[in-house]
Amino acid sequence: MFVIDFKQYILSLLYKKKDLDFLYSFPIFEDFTYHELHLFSQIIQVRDFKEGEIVYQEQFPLAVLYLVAKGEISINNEYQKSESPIFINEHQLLGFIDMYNEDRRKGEAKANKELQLLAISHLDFKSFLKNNPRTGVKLLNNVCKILSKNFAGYMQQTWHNS
Amino acid sequence: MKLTKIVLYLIILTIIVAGMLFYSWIIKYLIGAVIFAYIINPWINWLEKYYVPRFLGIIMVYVVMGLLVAWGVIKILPTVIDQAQNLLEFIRSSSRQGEISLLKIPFIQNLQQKVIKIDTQVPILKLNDNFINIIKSMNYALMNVPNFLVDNYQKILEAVTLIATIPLIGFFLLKDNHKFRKDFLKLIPNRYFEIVIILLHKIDEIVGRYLRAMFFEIIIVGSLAAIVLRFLGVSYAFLIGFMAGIANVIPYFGPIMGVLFAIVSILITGNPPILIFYSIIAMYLIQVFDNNIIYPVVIGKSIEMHPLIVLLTVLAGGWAWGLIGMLVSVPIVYLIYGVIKVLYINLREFNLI
Repeated sequence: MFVIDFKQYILSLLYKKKDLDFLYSFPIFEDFTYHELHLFSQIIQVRDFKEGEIVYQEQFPLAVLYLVAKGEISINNEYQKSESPIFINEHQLLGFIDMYNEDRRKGEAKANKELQLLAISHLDFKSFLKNNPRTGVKLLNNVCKILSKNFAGYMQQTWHNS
Repeated sequence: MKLTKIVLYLIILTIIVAGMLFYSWIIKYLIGAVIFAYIINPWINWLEKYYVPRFLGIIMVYVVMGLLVAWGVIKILPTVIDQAQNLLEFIRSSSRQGEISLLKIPFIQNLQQKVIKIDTQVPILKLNDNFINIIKSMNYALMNVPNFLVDNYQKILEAVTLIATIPLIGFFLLKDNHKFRKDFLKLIPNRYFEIVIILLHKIDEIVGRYLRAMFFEIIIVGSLAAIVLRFLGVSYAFLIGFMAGIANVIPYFGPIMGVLFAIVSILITGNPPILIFYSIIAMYLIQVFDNNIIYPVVIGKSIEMHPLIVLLTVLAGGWAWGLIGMLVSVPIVYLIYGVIKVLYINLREFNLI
């Protein structure tokens, strides 16, 4: 029987559903509505980096927040040259904590392999939070969830190593 | 650099130059549409937040604006046109009645009485002859105003076409502004991406905020001036309010021009001279309201420009493009100065200069 999915039809008319479905694969947007994601997608830029390409340099202004869509970033810190670099993998966040207490990059970020990032200007991000407080709370809640998960994993690893 | 790369860049450059030449005649339309889009974009964004798709939001705002314009055309424009026609008729009748008809204006008659009185006491000064010469040259300048309007009807027609085309181009700029921004950023190499995204945001903020503030200031200051002057009983109140609102875009000197329009109207029409004092106070209070309430709310912090720079800019604008130049030169210089400042600070921060 031929049935028209009216909701899907309306969504396809109003939003670029294919782009939004891609964004839904990120845990940070998991509980967003189509409309919220549509509004947020307006400030997202997709950037592709080749292996070894620099994403940003140390001491550069903290201008952009990143979400890793594909690949891996390694971050080298000038003060931790002896230590191994920090790796940021798929669906992890970069710059979201530093945005609130730093105005400069603490290390150099490089594409470890072919890399795709979602880039958001921190000024656009803050404007979005200000203009869309409800969605903003949802977004920051999801950021906290991801960061606490990462932190718990890191602590477990440290405890295991010691 | 490889030869193929150089050839490719040359081809792209040629296409860009050819494109610029081809589209050069519509640049003023595009600039007008960008200004228009900047002014109404916040309303479209606001509607979009409440589930109204952009295209529908634009149509809704256009309909509301159309209704407001229609109301203005029906209710206010006839009064403004009527007052302008009365003024022109006054000038025309002056030119028909002979060279020194300005002497029929009550204020000038009073002034001449005083000059004659001085002349009778000190005949050697011959002040009255000089006074009549000045009036003659003023009269000559006024006589040319209607001719100027007739001679420039093509330009006036062009301006009307410009105003009609702007909303059409503005529609597409407003509908796809995020797409245009994304497409532009795609062209930027990764090395410069972070600085460009920050620059775009800051420039967008400076330009948008300034243009919106200018728009609201023209409307609010113009309306307040018209209402207050009408209440005081000054003739041509709507016309003066309209001109004072537009002149207000020139910092420091614009408000003075608004007061001067009112004073000239009072002197020409023979309104009681005490109205000059009331008008100065009223226009001053409007400026206080503008500087302390409208400006901080709409613009917030702004870039300071020294009064001397403003004066020189107005003079240079007037020299280059006449009256229009005087009006637009300060906003243009203000925006260029703001953009260069943002560029300089950020290029330094990213170690690019």
